[in-house]
Amino acid sequence: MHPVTAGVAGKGQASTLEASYWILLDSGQAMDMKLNFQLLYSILEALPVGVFIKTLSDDFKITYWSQGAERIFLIPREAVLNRNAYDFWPKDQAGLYLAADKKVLEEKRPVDIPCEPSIRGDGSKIWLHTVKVPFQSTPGGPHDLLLCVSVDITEQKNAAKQLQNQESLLKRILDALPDLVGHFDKNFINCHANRRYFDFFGKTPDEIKGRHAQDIIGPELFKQNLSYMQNALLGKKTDMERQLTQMNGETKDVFIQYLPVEEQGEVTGYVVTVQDVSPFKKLELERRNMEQTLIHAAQLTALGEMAGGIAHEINNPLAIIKGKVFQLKRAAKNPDIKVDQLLNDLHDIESTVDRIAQIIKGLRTMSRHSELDPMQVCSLRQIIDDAFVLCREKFAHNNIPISLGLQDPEIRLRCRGYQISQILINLINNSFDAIADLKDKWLRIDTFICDQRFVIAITDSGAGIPEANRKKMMQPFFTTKDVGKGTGLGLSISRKICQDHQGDLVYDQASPHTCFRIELPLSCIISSERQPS
Amino acid sequence: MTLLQGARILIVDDEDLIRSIFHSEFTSHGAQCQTAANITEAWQKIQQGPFDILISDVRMSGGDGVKLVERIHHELGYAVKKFFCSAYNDVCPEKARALGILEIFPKPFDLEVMVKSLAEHLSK
Repeated sequence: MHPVTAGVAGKGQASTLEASYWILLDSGQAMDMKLNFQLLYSILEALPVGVFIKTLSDDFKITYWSQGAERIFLIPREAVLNRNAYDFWPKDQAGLYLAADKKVLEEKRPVDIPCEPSIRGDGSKIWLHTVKVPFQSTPGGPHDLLLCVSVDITEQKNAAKQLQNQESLLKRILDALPDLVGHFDKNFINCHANRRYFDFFGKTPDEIKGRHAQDIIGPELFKQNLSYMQNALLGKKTDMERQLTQMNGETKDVFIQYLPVEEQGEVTGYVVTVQDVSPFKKLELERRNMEQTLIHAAQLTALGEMAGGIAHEINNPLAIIKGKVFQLKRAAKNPDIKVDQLLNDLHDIESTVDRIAQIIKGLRTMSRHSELDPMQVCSLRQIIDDAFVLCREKFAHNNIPISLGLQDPEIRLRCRGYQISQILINLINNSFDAIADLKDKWLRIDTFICDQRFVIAITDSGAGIPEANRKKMMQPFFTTKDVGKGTGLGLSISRKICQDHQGDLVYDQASPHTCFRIELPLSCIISSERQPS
Repeated sequence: MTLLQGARILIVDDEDLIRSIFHSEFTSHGAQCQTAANITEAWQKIQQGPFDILISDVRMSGGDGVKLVERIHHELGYAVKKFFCSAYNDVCPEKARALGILEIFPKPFDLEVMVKSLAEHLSK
């Protein structure tokens, strides 16, 4: 009998293990053997993996069950020792194990099962990586012992599954994106591409994955974009807008981005995204057209509002011309015609014609509407006169004095003069509507330089805009005028025109009266001497 | 040329040249004309009158021709034949009739037609 100490053998299983051990080790010193055995036993017990031995001769009964096995399977050794799989595992599970065990013994060589499912003592499922090694208890005898080592790989398996799920989710998200997404490694080999990417280049996933970028997008496009790809591989993000022709021949406006892909601080590849911006471009164009139409509509409305004044302004000088001509025709029949008087009358007619021409010019101001018109050098006085010619009459008629305070009346501005006139007409008409019924009514226009801006300030005798309306008044379609009186576009359009001139239209809250300021950058001022271009 | 012989006419218009055209035209037809550039001046002159005819512009700087005619209609101590001469159809015919306006001459006017019309109204 071989020496066995209860302290080492624990719960009796060591005796069977020891028996197997002694059979295997068939010679040597008993004490050394005992030490060897104790060392081996300690190692097996300390291993974080499950180690167990089955005996073929005894119907695959388990003769050793390490502490690691207890922890992994949540089954104490008392429950398994000297029992076989059928005693503690469900029947089909046990059948599978035994079949595998028999196969190992028949083939007489170790088997590696990288991933097998199992059930723990509490019923929960685990994944194991198991190695089964057949042994001969007697040298030269049959393979009758089976050493099994099982590692719990549930966590790794779950993590891998989670990763797989995440990858699949990511793939689904990428495929749902309207943008093209392609991921390439640093050798320009495709690692992944989404559905849009395949579709755009008219290829199947197989024709893309693992292929060189040049084979996918064609040598020409590859050459064009090589510098962007190289920059991305150097860690620099680049983007651009350009036109791209699809496989079906359709050309699209696209926004392309090249983004470096970094792993642990090292660039391992790049991602290219291509966004079809054609619809935005189209919308932007439509928006601009709409804006132009609105500006024009607002001008026409303003024109309609001024129709009375304009008719008056034109019919009066026409009456003068017609009257003078009538009298001149009669005088021409008179042999005593006075040449001086004749010349005087003709001079009156001439200046009256000029007056009408001036009004027509003002009207042309109102009907022009192109933001594409070039900036021109315009005289400030002319801009103000062009505006006045269309508003003057109704102010005079309603006894509203207009005063001018121009810091430098000869100043010339680089701008679209007619647009500035439009803003003035708009503001002056607003003032008129606001103050026509006030007792104290006046309007003044001042120009000066303030805070690096050239300012045209339009102030009227009104008491200011109510706080509640100040924010809204610059919004399109906001109006406090009666239905049919205003479009609510005047201020928003005026402001847009100012902004197009790199300036702004602001309401002066500090003024005790209602005051709007057209603010233009100083760069629009052209020295007085310079001639208009 | 005596269609307006002896007629005393007050011309009210804020346009210098229109006043002068009317003045010379009506005078050449035998009328005695005075002019006023605004309604205040016109009210002073018409009170000092008397006048047979008033021809007034409607929209004028310094006050509305309608206001002048209203005042004449209600406050003036004597009858005067009242006419508007307007550059824009801004007086409705009913209102004009209610104020005793006999005719509205639109600008640009035909002097010959105007003189004939004034003469006809004078003879009524």
